[in-house]
Amino acid sequence: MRVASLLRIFLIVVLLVAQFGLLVFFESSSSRFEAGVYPPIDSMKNNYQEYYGKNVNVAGSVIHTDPIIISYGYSPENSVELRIAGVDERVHLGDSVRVYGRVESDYTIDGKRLIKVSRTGQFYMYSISLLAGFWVLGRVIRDWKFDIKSVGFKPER
Amino acid sequence: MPDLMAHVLLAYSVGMILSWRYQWVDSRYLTVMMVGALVPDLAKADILLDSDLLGYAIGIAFDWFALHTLGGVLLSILIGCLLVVRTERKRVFLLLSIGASSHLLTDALLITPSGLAYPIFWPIAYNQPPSAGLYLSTDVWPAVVAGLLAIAVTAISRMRDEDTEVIEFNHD
Repeated sequence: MRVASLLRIFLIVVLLVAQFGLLVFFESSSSRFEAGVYPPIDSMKNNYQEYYGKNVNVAGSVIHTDPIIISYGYSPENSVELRIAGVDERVHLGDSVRVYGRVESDYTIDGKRLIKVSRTGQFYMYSISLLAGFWVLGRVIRDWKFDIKSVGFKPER
Repeated sequence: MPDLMAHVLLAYSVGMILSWRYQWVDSRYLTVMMVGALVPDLAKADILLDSDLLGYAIGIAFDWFALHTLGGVLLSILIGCLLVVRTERKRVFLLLSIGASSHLLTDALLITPSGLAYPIFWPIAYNQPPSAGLYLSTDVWPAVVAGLLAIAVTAISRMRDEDTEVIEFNHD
């Protein structure tokens, strides 16, 4: 393999490492964001007091409507139940919601705003996004080819 | 813009308009711009590989969302440029950047619970600009609008191509 190609591969690896560094840096600096972040679920479960008085974003499914309680997390095994106070929105069991608010004691969020996300809307979003991905992938396969000699993609004539 | 289709259609439309001025922007380079529109949503890897769980498993906390900011997008584009042959890198960098920028800007218009957009310029700035709050990521209408724009731009391109053929015919 030519030196230039080896150098390119080395640079790609360096950039990938830098990229992972950015992902770590973003997580570590998240407390500096004004509007709060989505706290890691483990952290909410085990270090809840760290978030007292902070503004956070949370999202989850409604598991109780009065008072509103949501399950914050991606899976039943890895989630925490949060009570949402201070919002007037009418919700139903199973609704997906996003909430911004201040963390209070006893796993309660003093909500400033609650947004409902419909299941139909989520299904539409994921389906159409998948279609878009396949469309672009198809165009890439049609329009670009990998040239072994140059070790890189080039446009099809 | 919400869903990926809306982003891709918008990038397609922008690319078609650019092709009116810059003839080298043909179908192949239009594809590059559409790929650029997908780049910020590499952050959606969180759906398949939860950063909380994965971070716990490897002992290093991280957040995929960095890929949806200026810094993450720039690194992704640089990696993309290194994947193409040297003669194509400038064009690929330019087109990926335009496509990705359109995604970042239109995502800053999403309705958010806090009323603020995401930290679009991170790591240069931690600011979260106010969001215009125009649509949710699950709304259908942005893709419809982007689709109509793409159809209109394609029709105009075809008419321009026909006009060019007529002019060339008359010159012969």
